[in-house]
Amino acid sequence: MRFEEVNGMLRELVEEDIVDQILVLKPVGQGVVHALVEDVNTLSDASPFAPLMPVNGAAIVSQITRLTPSEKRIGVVLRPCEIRTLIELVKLKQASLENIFVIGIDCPGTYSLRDYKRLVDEGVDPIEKLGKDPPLSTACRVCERFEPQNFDLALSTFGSDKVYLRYGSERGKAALEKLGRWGEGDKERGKDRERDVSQMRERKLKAWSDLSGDVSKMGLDKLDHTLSTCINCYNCMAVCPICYCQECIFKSSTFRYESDKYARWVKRKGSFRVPADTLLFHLTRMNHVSMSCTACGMCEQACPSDIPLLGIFKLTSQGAQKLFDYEAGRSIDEEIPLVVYEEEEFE
Amino acid sequence: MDEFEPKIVGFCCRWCAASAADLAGVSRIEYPSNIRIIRVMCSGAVDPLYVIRALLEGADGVLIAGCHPGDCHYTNGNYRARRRMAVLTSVLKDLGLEEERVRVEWIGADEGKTFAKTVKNMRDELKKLGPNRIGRRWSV
Repeated sequence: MRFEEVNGMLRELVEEDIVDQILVLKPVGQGVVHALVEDVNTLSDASPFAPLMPVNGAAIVSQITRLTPSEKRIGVVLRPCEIRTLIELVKLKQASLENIFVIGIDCPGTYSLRDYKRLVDEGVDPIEKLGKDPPLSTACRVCERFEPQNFDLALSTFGSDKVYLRYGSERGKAALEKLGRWGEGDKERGKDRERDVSQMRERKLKAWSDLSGDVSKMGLDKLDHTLSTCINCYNCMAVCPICYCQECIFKSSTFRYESDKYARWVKRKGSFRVPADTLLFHLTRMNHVSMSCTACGMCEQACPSDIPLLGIFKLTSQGAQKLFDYEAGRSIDEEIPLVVYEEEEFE
Repeated sequence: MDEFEPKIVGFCCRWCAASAADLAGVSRIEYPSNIRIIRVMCSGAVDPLYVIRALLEGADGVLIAGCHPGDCHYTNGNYRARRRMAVLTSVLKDLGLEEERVRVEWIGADEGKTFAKTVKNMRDELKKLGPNRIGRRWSV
């Protein structure tokens, strides 16, 4: 199997004293979960390439580093979208990169939790299976940023049938030099990288162009149709790594109404949908996360009604980010546009 | 049938546009009664949530009126409002949701006439645009 060397690479990062711990996916039961690993002997079943994103790993890094920066040097193995999200969370002061060593992966895409579990139940190895049936999650099918950026080291597979390492920072370069045999690398590995990446990108961009075409200008009727099965569970908000407010206004007393308010609404409209504020919730969330949305697709995965949220959120956030020539997660140095301003603009 | 009279919700900064509305009043400059003014401390205090709420509750248009660039009582609230509302209109536009119904204007405290003109102009434009369907839906 082409992935077997990966765990050796991760193990050496600890043994060579580059990091103290590794944050990586490990299989449990029908799925994979993030695990913080210190004992390298428990790394043998690590599955950084497992095509499943149970939660956005950036949210895990945020959990660990939000109150105090990590004292341990942690090598966090993250997908490209998770790295982008982490960068946004750092800018939003919800995570710290201090002592965090970012290990990116060439992302093969992910299945939805449901499909992944089904494959495991059927005795199929989801990593081997990667293909058209079942399809990848929407977010991954239309993701053109499947190559990691802003990493120290990257576990790379594109253009090769074996895993190879690349560095993306001075720190990563120094680490790679310490990792002797991986550092030397095999010149053959990754020789077809550019070709493979550009083919893949073309395919994904085409998929996004199809989907965004469907979503754009959907209008009230279609939007109403799309959100018709929303049950106001707020799962999309709960799993959104960018929705970081400790208390969301939608869960606050602002959105608990006296009975006379309902009476007034129903009087005016004849009939009145309850629970209330479905479209208000989604449109507001689109506005609130627009600058930092990395289209990771957690919202869509968490929706019990299978509402296709990814396309809507990706389209609207891309449009909003373009206003400021901003791209969520592109650079740690670019300020989030809503916290700064130009004196002359939008005249 | 009665002629359509649009409802406008105006979020007016208390340091400028709300004073301009007062000034229009005391100077007996007429402006359409289509507008319902909500005084806010700063245009920068207007969350997109408020604007969307107004549109979903039946407003045909929403005016966010703040101080001229450079004149914000809190230094930069209006600059922030300008960016936030640009995002809001971009989101609405991408979804095909009549972003024309949201308007941002700068109106100084001494500009009673400008306030009246802005409201008249907005009413006329909204009349052309017609009623806001989204605010009349029961299922949103």
